[in-house]
Amino acid sequence: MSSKGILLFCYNNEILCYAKQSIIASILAKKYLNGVSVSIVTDENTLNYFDNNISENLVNYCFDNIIVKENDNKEHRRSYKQFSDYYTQEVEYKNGQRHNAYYLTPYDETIVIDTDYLIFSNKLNNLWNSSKDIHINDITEPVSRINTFAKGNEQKKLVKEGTIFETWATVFYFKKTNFSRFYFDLVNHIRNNWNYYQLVYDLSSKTIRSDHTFSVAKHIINNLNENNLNIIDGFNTGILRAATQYDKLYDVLNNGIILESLTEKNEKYFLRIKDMDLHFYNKFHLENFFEKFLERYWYGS
Amino acid sequence: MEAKDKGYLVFALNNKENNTDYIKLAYCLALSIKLTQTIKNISVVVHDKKDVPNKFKWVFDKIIEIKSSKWTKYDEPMKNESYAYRLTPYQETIKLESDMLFSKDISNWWDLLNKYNFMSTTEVLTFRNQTIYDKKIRHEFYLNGIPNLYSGFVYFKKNNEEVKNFFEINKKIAEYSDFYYRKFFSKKVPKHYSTDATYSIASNIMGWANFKKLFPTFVHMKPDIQRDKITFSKWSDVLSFNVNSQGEIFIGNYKQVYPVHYFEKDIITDELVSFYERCLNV
Repeated sequence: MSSKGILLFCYNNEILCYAKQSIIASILAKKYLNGVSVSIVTDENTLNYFDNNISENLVNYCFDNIIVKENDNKEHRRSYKQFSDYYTQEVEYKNGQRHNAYYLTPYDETIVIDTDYLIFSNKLNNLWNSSKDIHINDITEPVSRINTFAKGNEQKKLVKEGTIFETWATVFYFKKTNFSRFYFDLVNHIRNNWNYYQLVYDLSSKTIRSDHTFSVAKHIINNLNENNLNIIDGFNTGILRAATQYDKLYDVLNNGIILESLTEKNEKYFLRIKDMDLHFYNKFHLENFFEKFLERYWYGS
Repeated sequence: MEAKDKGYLVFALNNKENNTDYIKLAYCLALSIKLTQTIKNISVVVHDKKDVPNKFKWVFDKIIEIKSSKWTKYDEPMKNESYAYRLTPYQETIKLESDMLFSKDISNWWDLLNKYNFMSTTEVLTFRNQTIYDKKIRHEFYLNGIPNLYSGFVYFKKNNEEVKNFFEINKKIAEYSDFYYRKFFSKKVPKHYSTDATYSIASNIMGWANFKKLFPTFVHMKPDIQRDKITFSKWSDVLSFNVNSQGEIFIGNYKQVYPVHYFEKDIITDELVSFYERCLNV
C-alpha cells in the first residue's frame, strides 16, 4: 500500500506567522481527511518559533514529519497586499521549497496545500489512488460576490492578458513517478532560468511565483499548448474556491467559518462556509483567529 | 492519385483601392507550405501574371491570371473566388486565404478529406486551440439560420457534378450579391461582400447538412474572438509572433499546429519572407 499524506511549506517572515497557519491547516486536514498524515517543510527559524510558542503536544499531533530545509540563498521575494481592517499592509513573502516537493515529500502520494488552505470537506480524499500522476487546479472562483479573478464568466484566469492560463499551485496532488519528477525538474529549471522564461512568456513579475513556474512548466509539458493531451489533469474534486483579500474572517464554527464580505456597492454581508475547502487569502485574520480554531478543532477533539 | 493532383489554391488579387500586397502574402504562404508540408503544391490566381515578381514565380506550380475579370475594385476581387472550381489545376484542391501560414505538416488531412467531395471549415480556433465563440461576429448567420462556413480552408474535388453546381451557384450569388444577401440574410444583411457568406448561402441552396465540426479547421487571429478578451485592436501589439527554422509558428508562445489565418497583413514583413527563403536555401 502506498503512503499518502499532506505536505505543507511553512516559513515565517517578519510579520506573518506561517507556523500558526500551518497548525490550523493541519488540524483541519486531520479532522476532515480521516486523520491523514501531515508533514511540514520548514526552516530553523520557524522551528524555533514552534519550540518556543506552540505546545509540544499540539506540534506532535499536527505534524507526523518535520523536514528542515532552509530557503535558497538566492531567494526571490515578492510583496503582496493584505487587507486588514480596511487598510493594506505590504508584506514580504518568502517563496518556499514548493518546487522541490517531489524530493522533500516522505509520501508516495502527496497533496501539497498552502498553509492558508482551509479544509472543511473530505473531497481531497478523491485524489488518492488517482490514475494520473499529477493534478493541478487551473480553475478558480471567488466565494464572495466581488469577482476579483477572471473577467466575465470565465473561471480560467490568464497569467496576463495574451499569455498562458494560470495554474494554481495552492493545492496540488502528485505521485512519485518518473513523470512527476520530470515535471518538478522542469519547474526547477524554469526557476533557475527565470530571467529567460519571464521574458519569453512576457510575465511582468520579476520575482518567482510558484503559480507562474508551475504554469509555464505545464504549458511546456503540453507541447506549448493547452491541456489537449490531458497529461496533467485538473481537479476532480471541484474548482479551487478562494476567499479574496476583501473577505474577512468573522467567526469560526465547529464545522466551518463565517466570512464577512462586501458587495460591489461596498455593502456588508455574511457568508457561511461549510462542506467545502477554501483558499483564504487574508492571512492576518487567520492568525487572529488561531485560538478560536484550536478551541473548535483541537481542544474539542 | 499522384501528389501533383493535390494542391493548394490561393487568390492574390491586388487592387488599387487596397494597399495590401496579396501576392507577397501568397508568396509567404507558399514558402511556409514548401517548408512544412509533404504535399506542397500550390498555385496562385492573380489579375495579371506580370503582377508577380520574377523571384516569386518559382514557388507556384501555376500562376493563373484572370485578366478579363470584371471584379477588380474594392471588395469585388473576392467574388472571383467563385471561380475556384474552374481555375484550379488540381483534381483535389484546398482553397486558402492568402493571409495564412502553415506551421505543422497536415498532409495526412488529404487522405481523410479524400472521402468527401466538398468539405469546408465550420469551426475555427483561437491561438490557444480553443474553439472560438463566433456568435458575435457571425450574428447574421445565426440570426438567419445560414450555415456558418469559413472559406479560409475549403477542400473540393474536381470532376464532381455536385461540387460544380455549388460553384455555379456561387457565381450567381457573386453576380447578384445584393439580391441574394437580402434574400438569405433577411433579418440582418452583412455589410460587405464575403466569400464566407457566399459559400454559406450556396451551401444552404444545395441543401447540404448544416452542422459544426472540428475538421478541417484553422486558427483565426481576429483579435476580438480570441476568448481572452484581448482589448487591443491588433493582436500583434499584445502577442509575440515567432517562426523557427522548421517553419513552426509560435503565437503568444503557443506552438501552432493548425494553419494560421493571421488576419493582420503587416506581420508579413520582408524580413519574414527572407527568413523563410533562407530556411529553404533559396
